[in-house]
Amino acid sequence: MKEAKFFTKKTPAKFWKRVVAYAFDLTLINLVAVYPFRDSLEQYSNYSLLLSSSADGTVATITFIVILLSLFYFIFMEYKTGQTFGKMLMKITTTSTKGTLTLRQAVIRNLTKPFPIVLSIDTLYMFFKRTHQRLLERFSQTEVVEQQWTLA
Amino acid sequence: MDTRINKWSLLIIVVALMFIVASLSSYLITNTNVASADTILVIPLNGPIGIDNGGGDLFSSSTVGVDGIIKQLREADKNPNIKAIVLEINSPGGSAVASAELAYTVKTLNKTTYAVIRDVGASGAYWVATATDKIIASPMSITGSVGVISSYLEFSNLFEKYGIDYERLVAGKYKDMGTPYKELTAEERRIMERKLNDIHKIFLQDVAVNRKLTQQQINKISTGEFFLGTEAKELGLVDVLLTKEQAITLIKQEINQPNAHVVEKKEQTSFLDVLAKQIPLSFGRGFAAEVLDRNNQEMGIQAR
Repeated sequence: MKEAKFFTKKTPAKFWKRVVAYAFDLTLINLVAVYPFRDSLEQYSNYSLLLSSSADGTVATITFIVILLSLFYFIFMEYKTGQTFGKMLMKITTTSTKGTLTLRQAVIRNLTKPFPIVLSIDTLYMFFKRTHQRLLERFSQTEVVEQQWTLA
Repeated sequence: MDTRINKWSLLIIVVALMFIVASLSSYLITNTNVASADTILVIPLNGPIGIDNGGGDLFSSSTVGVDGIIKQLREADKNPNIKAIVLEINSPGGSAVASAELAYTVKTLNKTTYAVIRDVGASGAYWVATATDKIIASPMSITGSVGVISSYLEFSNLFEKYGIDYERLVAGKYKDMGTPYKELTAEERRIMERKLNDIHKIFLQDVAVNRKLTQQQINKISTGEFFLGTEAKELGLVDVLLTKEQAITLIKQEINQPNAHVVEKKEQTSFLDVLAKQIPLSFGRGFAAEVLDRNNQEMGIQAR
């Protein structure tokens, strides 16, 4: 009797898994990078300056810091491990289509991540391509994959 | 297995690092930005005064809730960076209790307080204004109207026309005094008027004390008449006639803070507040219940 053999095959990650992974990542970023600014943000949601632009400057500074931290999180985690927190939970991985993922590739593919609206435009590209890549993923020659068990 | 542990360890390190950087940045921002600068806080009082925010549409409230304003005033009073508090008033008054509570709070603040009356600062809103250290109004502002009202629509004749009866079931003969479904008896009217007069006395007395009015001035304003800014200035009901911008300049001079930031407190309604307010209205109550509720609100005693 012939024994059944299983092997793993990497396929483009399902869209819903990527969305859920991103939601997990955003939640984590909110907790660690936005939450510490809650007092300042609360103050500026209550108080709007009439004659001073200092508040706008402060809000812009906070936004800038949060964007930088978000970029650091996505780029560093994907460059080092191919996964972010969300991707770890959803068991999906970022890989390069031509070997090992480089820092340059990690930077390019994550440029839109802190900006959900820009990211959604970037994501639209995915629906027109069989490779299920975002526009920046195509530029950076990267993809997000999941492992599937297949019967030989 | 090792790789997996390494991934999670790396994640924890990255997350901890991000948290430390964000916390340090927040600390630096809080200690160097405008929050530490001298500030004049402007709190708007727009619309009828009530105990809490109520009515209105999905994104705004038709009444100014004094609970929220009192909380803001207490917080501002504790903030050493706030050098003066300005109540920007555009209100015809409202609930007598809410107006009195707000006036009391304003009077007990340690900061220098100002009232800037825009279009209208009448009745209960004027009561609040008198509790500040100085009242600034436009020459065309409507102010005064130191009176109490408890008028309401009475439907008994309309009901009679359509054959609708009011089944009166009460324990206590005055229990349904003021219901819109029956006419007031002469005795009930006397009771209602006596209560209104009592409230009017308290209102008038507080205004007189706050503004240090003479008996002659009290007699003049006790009719409930409203006054234009120019008339109010002659009667001693307001101190200065200026526009809002001029008022801010004056306040900066008076508190010796020419470079003070002017910060306006926004009316804050969170999305959850909106949902909490709208969902019960949409699903738990019908249109008729809403009409009756509004009618009952109208029947409350109003300093307006």
